[in-house]
Amino acid sequence: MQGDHAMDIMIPVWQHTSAPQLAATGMEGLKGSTIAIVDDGFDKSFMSRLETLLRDVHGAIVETFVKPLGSAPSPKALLDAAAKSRVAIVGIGL
Amino acid sequence: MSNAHPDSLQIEDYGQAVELFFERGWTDGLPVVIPTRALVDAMIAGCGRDRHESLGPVPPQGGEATIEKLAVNAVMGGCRPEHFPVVIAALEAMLKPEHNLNGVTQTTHMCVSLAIVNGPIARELKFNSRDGVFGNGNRSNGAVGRAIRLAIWNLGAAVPGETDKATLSHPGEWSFCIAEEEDDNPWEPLHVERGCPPGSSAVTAFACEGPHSIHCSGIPDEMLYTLTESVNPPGSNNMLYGGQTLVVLNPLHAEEFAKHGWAKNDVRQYLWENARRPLSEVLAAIVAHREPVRKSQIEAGRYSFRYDVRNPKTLVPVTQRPEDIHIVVAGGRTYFAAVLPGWGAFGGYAATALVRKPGR
Repeated sequence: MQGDHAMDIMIPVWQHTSAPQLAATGMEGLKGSTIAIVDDGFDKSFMSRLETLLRDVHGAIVETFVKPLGSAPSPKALLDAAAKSRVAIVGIGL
Repeated sequence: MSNAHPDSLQIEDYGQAVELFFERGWTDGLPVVIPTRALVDAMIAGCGRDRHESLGPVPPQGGEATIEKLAVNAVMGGCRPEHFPVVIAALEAMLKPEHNLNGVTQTTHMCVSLAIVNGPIARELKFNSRDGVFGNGNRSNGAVGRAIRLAIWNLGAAVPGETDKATLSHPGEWSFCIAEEEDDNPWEPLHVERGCPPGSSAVTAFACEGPHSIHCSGIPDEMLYTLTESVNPPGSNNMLYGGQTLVVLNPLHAEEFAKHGWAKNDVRQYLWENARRPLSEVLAAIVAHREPVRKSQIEAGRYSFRYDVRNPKTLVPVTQRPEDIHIVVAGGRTYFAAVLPGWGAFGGYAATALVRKPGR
């Protein structure tokens, strides 16, 4: 169909306006830094090993936050608490 | 083509518009009805709600499910204005925390959120609840189901292989909507069972696999035998992780059960007590029940099974509680039933929302 007048077509997607958050910068080492681990609870042995390495080998101060449900987003209160650390580990890419 | 308004585009050629929706990723692989402003405005006017009202962010990417954006996707899916309150109720149900749409859209499992329509609106809009209920041939089932999927596609942006990690998925990702048969059904409808007032209309969302056929006929004992042996295969997420499951009986099944004095709850209870597997079989199938994973899950507050997980002779139920077995009556009056296994204890649980018609 080709009309004489243009169709006014509505866009179906949501246009995000917020700027992406930038990763933390300026860290020179892990020693003495506070690191939050946001744990989805799916692999406790792996996370325990990671925590041990960060603390005992690299000298970081580690605080772990376990999500109430691993497959759902973290509650805001948990993220706010984790955000008080110098760095937060919120996911691990394979 | 021009873009005078941030929420719309000016295009003269219809064919060009169809192609543009593919190019921009605004459709999931099928062509759509082009959402002109006139069609979208008519959709919004028909529902009696503010176009800027939001039902909340749609996971995983968090686009706001405003009435206007839902209306755009409803037009694209082929809905008429009278369908729109059903689409809104479906999204309201799917966005409830217990449904965990975030996980449902991103899991490696194949579950997809099914919309089950109940109440007078199902009959008014001629939803199919009988022969071929999960199949094609009906506009209300097809268009409402498609509108829901397009809204999740466009607002949630769950893209296969990227933000949607489903290993296989299933064809319900195109459209997955049925109605429960309430006239030819001796039992209480699903939405009333879930707390909605009798005579109301509602949509229940449940994330599940596609329908698995169960040949099921005869007297209740015979039907229960095949149902019991079919709802708990060792590879199903329900058998391995609990959660919820859905059994669809056809009206003839329900009639036969009722004729012999079986209420829906009796069938549910029987299935929960009998559709079990020894823990040794479950252990053979899945790492989640082994140490240390099982221990870590218990510590994390999940899989709090109420049975002895250290005894291999323990009989493991298909769900943690009888009420986690949902039973819906739909389909033709033949021998076939279906089970639609859920995602397990990760979410996708049934959630129900009332359909709000304009002026109510």
